[in-house]
Amino acid sequence: MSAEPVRKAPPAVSNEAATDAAPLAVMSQGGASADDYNEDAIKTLKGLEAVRKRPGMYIGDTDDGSGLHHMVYEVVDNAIDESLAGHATEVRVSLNADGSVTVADNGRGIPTGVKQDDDQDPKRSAVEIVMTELHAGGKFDQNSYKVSGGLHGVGVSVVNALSTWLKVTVWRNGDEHHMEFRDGVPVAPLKVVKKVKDKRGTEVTFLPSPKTFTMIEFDYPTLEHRLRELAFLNSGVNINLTDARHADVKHQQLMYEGGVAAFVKYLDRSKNPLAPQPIMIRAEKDGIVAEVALWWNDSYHENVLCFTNNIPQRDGGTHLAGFRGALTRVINKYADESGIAKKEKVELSGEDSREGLTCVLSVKVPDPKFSSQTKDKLVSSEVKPVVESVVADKLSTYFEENPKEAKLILQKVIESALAREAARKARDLTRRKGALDGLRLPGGLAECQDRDPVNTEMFIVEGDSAGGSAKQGRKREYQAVLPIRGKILNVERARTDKMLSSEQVTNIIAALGTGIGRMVEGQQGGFDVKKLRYHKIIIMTDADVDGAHIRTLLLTFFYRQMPDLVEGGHLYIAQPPLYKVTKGKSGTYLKDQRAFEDYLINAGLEEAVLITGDGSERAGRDLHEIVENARTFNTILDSLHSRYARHIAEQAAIEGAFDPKRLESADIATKTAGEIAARLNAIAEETEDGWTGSYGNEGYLLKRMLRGVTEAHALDRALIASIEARRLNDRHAHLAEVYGKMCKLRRKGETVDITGPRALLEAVYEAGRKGISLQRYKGLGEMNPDQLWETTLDRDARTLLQVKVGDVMEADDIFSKLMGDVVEPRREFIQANALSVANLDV
Amino acid sequence: MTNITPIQREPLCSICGRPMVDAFKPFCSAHCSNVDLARWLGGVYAIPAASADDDEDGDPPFAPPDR
Repeated sequence: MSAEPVRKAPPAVSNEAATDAAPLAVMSQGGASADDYNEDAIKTLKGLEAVRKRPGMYIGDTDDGSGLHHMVYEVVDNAIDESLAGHATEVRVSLNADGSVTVADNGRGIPTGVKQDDDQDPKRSAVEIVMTELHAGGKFDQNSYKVSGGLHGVGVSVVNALSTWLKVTVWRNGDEHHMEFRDGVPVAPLKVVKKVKDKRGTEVTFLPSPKTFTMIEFDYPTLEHRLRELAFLNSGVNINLTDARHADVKHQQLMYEGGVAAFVKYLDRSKNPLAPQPIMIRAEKDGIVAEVALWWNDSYHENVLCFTNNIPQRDGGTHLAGFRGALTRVINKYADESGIAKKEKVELSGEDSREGLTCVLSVKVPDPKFSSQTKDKLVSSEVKPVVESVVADKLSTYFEENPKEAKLILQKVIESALAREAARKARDLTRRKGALDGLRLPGGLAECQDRDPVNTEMFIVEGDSAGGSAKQGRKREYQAVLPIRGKILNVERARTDKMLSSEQVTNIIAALGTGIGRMVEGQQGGFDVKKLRYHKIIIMTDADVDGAHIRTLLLTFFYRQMPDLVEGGHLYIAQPPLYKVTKGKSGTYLKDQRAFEDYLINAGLEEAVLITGDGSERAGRDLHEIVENARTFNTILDSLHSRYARHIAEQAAIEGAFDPKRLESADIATKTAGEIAARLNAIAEETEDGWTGSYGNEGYLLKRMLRGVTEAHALDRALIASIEARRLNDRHAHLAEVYGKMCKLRRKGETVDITGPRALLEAVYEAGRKGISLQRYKGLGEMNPDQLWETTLDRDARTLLQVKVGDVMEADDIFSKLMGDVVEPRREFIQANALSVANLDV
Repeated sequence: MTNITPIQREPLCSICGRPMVDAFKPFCSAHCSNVDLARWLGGVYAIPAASADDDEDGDPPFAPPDR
């Protein structure tokens, strides 16, 4: 109300040109009587008549409420300008109970003076001209962005023309002026009502005319939304919105410092941002000001709001095109340079960079062009290159200066691209199969004859030669074979990585017939376990590290992408043998190291008797248990740190030296040390004894002189306090009973001295090995088809491990650690768990 | 073997680490599931061979558990 007329008011009393700073007429003059006024008003009415005839052209849609609310914005706009110019500190908007709206500011007040060069007689006040003449003033002045933007460009006179009544009060220079209009026609000229002290500003109250608007109820949320927008776009402006229509008066203060960045933060107030602060771009080029705030959050929705001279463009336009172009260009460049796009084998599209992006893009353009009256789309072509170059420039700089945030953003973009790509491929894979109802099966698959999934099984076999053997050895009636190859990837340095190629994965999906991807409601496709073509899927890999890796990959894939298959109990692991033991004419397949040891123990204990120190004989099941105990003992011993001598620790355990009670008294501990030494001397060769034992701060210390060199072994406190020592000590009673005094193993006429569990185990293994020949299969390929059949494929002879969810979760966990980005923990993990990966017994 | 890190059983999304959502398990969303799928279909996932980068700190190369 105030600033606008300041600019647009034609020369005032003083006849000076009206500019922002121009001094304005001070006094209001009474003017003509009410009657005269009405006659002259007819001329004015002609202009406003045009507005009433075609209100849509001036104020927007009169039926859907948008025009109605524009009435308010038109008046508010002027108040905001007065604020921005520093003349007002507050803008008040109030919805009144009678259906009218009041918009007020505490600015300078609309000039009240009589315009001396007015073409009407009697000459009218500036207030009256502003309220009754279209385009009164400098709306199209190229120097001010504001004036050319909105629907508001038409001026407050349009609001007057479309109101049943309008009242304006101006406080200026100590006077309160008042004027009222009905259907745009002044009821009386502007007059001073009273003197006021320290009050200035303008207040306009109007009741929209039902003759124009079919809908005359103001919607509070609509107003709140737009006024909030204005408060953000005009940083620091203080807007107070009141809804006084109901018994419960609603009030809201809208005031924000921080501009578009604050706007973006407000929009994302309940989201999780990727970076701590929005990226803020502000630049002016070729007379166009661009202000952009960008912020990515972890959602998948794009929310970009565009404004030109504070007016929103629902459909974007040239500013948005420029922004998008720059964003895509900068992100693609960064993705290429960092190598991540290549690593992830993905191509970025523009939409990927905008997933999860919240952005407010505000431009100030002199004389902007829009595609329609409603200004939903900006078409000014000069805006695009400016926004594009400004955004590209500043965004590149931001990425350079904030590598951490840039990486997070890029990761997000890459993932969007991956997800988009996967959704497309999944659709293709699912559709490809359904299109021709003949199934498109992968080339390498050897299909079975039976078509009933309940009866059939499919082996996923690693390696071509193993695949060949399996194809020959299988029962083709119900067993299908899909050979896959774990591709070896040469990565940096000498490192070789194991992977499943894209083709292998696609083949597996095609062979299973289930489709892939998440089933999304209302959409076709996705993985469907009901379409599974074989009810048993059996993974068959070599029993070596590579095989374990391929198996880990497969398990992880099934767990992540086909969890229903795992939960349905359809996934199995074949147990091909690791050894074949032949004794005489009979052959035995053994699946792993443990089974081999079992075999050796059984064979070695045939006819064996253990004679303990007290002369009692132990044999049969009793002896078997003793050997099993020795085996467990040996495992614990092996798990000790390599700095501890195994044979010393063994004898110490038999002696009971790991009992913490022995350490409570130095005397007992010293005595124990002596006894360990005595045991060592008893089992040592005659010339190599001479062990002495002592106990001190370091724990037990055992020494001997051997050919002039002192050999010393410590069983220190760290060891004695360890869990392994406790576990060794738990077996003390048994150890003392069996090995306390020297014992002997007698078997088939031969007798061997047994000094402890390790010696017993060794003697039994040794005996078991006699007369056998051992074949170790390094891979499935080493077995011929018949062997593969009788060990692994034959339903009646094989053992299959059914994969449980817990197993695949573990595989996933190992996989995640192996895949980890951080090199150090990954290497540690590989080294620490090399054994467990190889033995991954699922 | 004795210093294996305990396996974490908290159900977290394998891609983004947010809590897993049952309908999309073991992920939190169709989006993350698709990110994973893209990596399978693109042949991106590769397990580093175990004998990998051991030359750097002189640790003995890992050998299969043969006695």
